[in-house]
Amino acid sequence: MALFFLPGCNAPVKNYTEEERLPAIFPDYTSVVIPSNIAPLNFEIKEKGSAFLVQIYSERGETISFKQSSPEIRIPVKKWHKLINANKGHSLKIDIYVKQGKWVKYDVIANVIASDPIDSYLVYRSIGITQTYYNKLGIYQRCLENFNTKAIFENTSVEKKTCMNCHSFCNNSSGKMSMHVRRFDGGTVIYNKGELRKYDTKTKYALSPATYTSWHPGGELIAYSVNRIMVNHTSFNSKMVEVWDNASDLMVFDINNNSITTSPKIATSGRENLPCWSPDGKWLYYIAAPESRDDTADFYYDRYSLVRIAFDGQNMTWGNVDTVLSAMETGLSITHPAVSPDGRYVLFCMIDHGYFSIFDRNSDLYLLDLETGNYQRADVINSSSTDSWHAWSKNGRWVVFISKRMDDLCSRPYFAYFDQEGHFHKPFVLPQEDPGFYPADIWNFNLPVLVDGKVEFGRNRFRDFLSVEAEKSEFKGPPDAISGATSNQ
Amino acid sequence: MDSKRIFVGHIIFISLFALSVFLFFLLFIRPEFYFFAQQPPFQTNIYFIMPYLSFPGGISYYLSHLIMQFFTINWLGSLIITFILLTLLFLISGIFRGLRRPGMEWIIIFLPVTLLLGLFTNFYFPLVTALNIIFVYAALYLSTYFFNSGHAHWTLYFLSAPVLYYTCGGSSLILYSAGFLILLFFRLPDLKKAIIPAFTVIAFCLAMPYLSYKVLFHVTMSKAFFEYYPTDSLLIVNYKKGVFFYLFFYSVPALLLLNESLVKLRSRKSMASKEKPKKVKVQRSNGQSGPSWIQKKSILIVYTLITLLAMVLVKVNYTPLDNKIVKANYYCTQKMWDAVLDIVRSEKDYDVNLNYFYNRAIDNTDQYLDKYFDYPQFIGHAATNPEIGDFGLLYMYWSDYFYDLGHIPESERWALKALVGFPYCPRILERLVKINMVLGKYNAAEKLLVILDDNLISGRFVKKYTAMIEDTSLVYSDEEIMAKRAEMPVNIITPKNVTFRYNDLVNRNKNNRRAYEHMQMNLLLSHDFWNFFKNLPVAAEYYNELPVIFQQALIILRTRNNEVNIPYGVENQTIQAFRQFWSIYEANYSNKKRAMKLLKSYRNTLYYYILFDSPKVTGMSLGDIEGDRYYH
Repeated sequence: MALFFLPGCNAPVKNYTEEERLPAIFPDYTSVVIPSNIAPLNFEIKEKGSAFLVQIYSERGETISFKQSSPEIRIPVKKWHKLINANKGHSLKIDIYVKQGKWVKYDVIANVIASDPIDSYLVYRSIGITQTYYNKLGIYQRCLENFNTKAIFENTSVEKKTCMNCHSFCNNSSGKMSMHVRRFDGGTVIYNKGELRKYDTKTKYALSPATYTSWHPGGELIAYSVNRIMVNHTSFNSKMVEVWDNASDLMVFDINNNSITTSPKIATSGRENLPCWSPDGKWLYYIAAPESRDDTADFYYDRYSLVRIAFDGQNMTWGNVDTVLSAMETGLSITHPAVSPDGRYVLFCMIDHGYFSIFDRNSDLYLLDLETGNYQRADVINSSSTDSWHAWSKNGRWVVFISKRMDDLCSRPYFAYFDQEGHFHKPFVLPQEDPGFYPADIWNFNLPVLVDGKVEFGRNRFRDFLSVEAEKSEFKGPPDAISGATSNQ
Repeated sequence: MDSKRIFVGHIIFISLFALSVFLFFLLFIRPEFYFFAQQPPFQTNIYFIMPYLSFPGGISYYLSHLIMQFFTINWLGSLIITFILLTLLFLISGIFRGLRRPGMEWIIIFLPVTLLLGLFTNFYFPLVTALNIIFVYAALYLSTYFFNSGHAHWTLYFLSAPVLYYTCGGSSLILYSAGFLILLFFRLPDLKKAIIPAFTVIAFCLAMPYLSYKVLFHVTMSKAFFEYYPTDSLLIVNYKKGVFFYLFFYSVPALLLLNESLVKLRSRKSMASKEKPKKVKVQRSNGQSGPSWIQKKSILIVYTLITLLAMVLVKVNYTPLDNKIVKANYYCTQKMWDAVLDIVRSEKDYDVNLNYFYNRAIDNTDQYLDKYFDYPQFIGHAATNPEIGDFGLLYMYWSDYFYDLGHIPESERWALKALVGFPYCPRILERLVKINMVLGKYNAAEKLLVILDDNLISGRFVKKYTAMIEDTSLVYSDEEIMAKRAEMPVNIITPKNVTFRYNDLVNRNKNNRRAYEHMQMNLLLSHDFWNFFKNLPVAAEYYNELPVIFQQALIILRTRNNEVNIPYGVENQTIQAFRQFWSIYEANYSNKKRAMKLLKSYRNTLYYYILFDSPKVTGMSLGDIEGDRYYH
């Protein structure tokens, strides 16, 4: 609790010794680039002391100061925004003094306030660590400009606990959203033009209902995968659960006509998965692996390459499949491709095999430059733990991704700045009002997506809507598209 | 007997009653089992309380979890239960004092208290129900003092009803409102005048939960309107509501209705006989509410009746089997294997839970093969195969089971699944800390220790393992961690077939005899004699003489296939025993019941299991045996 609050105090301590190192703070908000609209980066000083003095300042505006006995620094939201708004493009400095008998001053923490804002909301799923059992889970939206978190839906609000997953938005817009509901009252729920509708996308030609989805930028089509998903447990210290497909295909759902189409090129006997449209809608990127041999031990057949196929949305026709980056070349399996909003980059994960990276401690993020064809490990944002499930902001200057670096157990959302030159900067974890949140919390943040505003439908509207019977989707071929794994059904 | 002496008598009786309750729980019931049966999670941080604030009834649920943490200390738990009962007694007697009208016998005041006492003897009884009813009585207690003050009772109702709804949930609102209406009705001279108040209260009772369901909270309809207790804990499904639960639950309106009816009746009689109720005035001045004949003739009879009532209710509510299951489970976690075996043996009837705990106890006392069929194995290979026993309530069992055997990844898998069902449960978190210490994931262990450090009961555990995190060299001197490291399989996919999991353990550490025994037993329980036989050469590494059960298996194998060459010695005694068994069986082949009866002394043999007890013969599954008990 703050003992004194001294705004604008320029010389808080006259006699102090200097410690030539950065102070230990949690979370690590040092040397990071932050959006100009982010919520206050509250933190806890991890240096022992009886009193703490903190000054947060920049070139312009009022310094935010604290003098208190608690090491927990909670910055007032209004003052924070006033300060960072006035200093876009400049450094944000934090002076920390700790009274350890005498006052000790540490090196100045210098962060940078980017001129580019981040989308104002983060939508994520909260789920238990294991993710194979869902007694309690929910999809939430967190305002990134403050600390408000609201449920979009929690499965504890219905008598029969459902599972819901793979929420997806069109062009980071909160007005177009899709989400799957499984087990009870199942279907794909689509929020579009202020209306909720539920579809049953399982047809006799598909392995499963819609799974991993990507909205076409036009907002009327959704590419999705159908998967026959298998789960194995392992004794690998780096990967306790092995989730893999022994078959998968891609399909396209037409929202307006409630119809499904595919092509023999994306529904082969091999495994096509994790679709992602290019921002112009002319290419569908996805990952592809050879046909499964049903042999979990043979990981070499389990590596995915990054491929793409041309698409003409006007005539609904497909071009040829083009391998963008081969697993043979990388020696690793590519997963979760996400094309940047300017269409130049693909951010993806690589793991030893398979595509389900969230349980893989070795999962790292890589960046492919589509202009040069070069790809590289995004070292500055990776860690020794799992780094996965990434998404771009609408302006392409920020990425959010999941990392387990904090404790090797729970996944947390991290944000990183991506500058004009195509470089990432040191990431920072989603700020919380209470810096003690992460150590106390035992739930996973899963599938974070940045959206430009609040998802407007209320949580109870979704709950009440859920019992509506799903509209049966119609498979419209073409008939020769029913090939590969799908045709086996 | 004057009023002062009656008062002193009451005080003495209540004190003796409280002392008896305290000693009964301390020495006989032991609240630590109550805590263990329900595993209520608790953390002191704000994030833990937040979800409880997000639904009606959450606060009292949170409070019940907090209170139950103290049940881990037996004397404190006993004291708390005694205090809860005395509070209830105080509130009920207070209500009738507040009404300032006679009618209620002392014995009836004691009725909810003795009912609650009886309910507390079941380890699964949800404490939150007791708290909710106490809150309802407390609200009515307040109300009674305002019934004679104009419209103050209405003000109080509309203030306290929403608070009660938010604190204790929809059912408490309904009970309170029903009690309020009863008190109101009996005070109205004309029933026609009751229509508007009744309509108002009923409308409020519907509007409040409706508003809550539609606007205020994100909850199910049952949680918004009416539920006896939250059912989000998987363990609470073990509680079976009986007639005494309902009697206690609805005691609020029932008691008031009874009291007001008695008052009305007496008042009419009094009017009819034109007698003045002089005796009533005496009672008022004393603050006592019992009718005079008891006071004058024999208050001792009342005390005796109350004592007898309490004893009867304790007796009929006590669930020996459920309590034995909880105790056996508890002793398993404490590694008190002999105590587990004593409990199992003390139960005459078969129980699937005791079956699991028995198997674990004989395994940990190195009697796995010798004593396996001393307890009927009706669940067959489900006892050794978690994929068959894949039910929420068994997740922790499987985690313990594989931890015993050294299959740490499997132990972790089941513990993590259990954690989703029981978030922040100290028992699961402690298991996960140990697992992560074995796996060398100190980061993860540290995180879990931080969480454990925030509860009220894991201090000693946290201290021990935090020291190891701070100085990881200490891990190497921890025998348990090092033994598990030597046993656990590494860098392989866990096979779907559980036999191969045991095989992985044996391959990892040839000294893991227990894993070998579980593998072989799994095969025998599945009637897979051929694969059992294929694994038999390894037995030479563990035994000088083949275990009797294996010898029995070889005899069965031989009876099935005469041509198989068995290069193992089978003792003459085993052969003779089999011959005797077989001769009885053959002679009674057509009468299975008779055969079973005659072969009772062979019940601890593999032959008997294969012919009579095995689920392959009986067709039984876990679901058949225990109904929905294991389903989540």
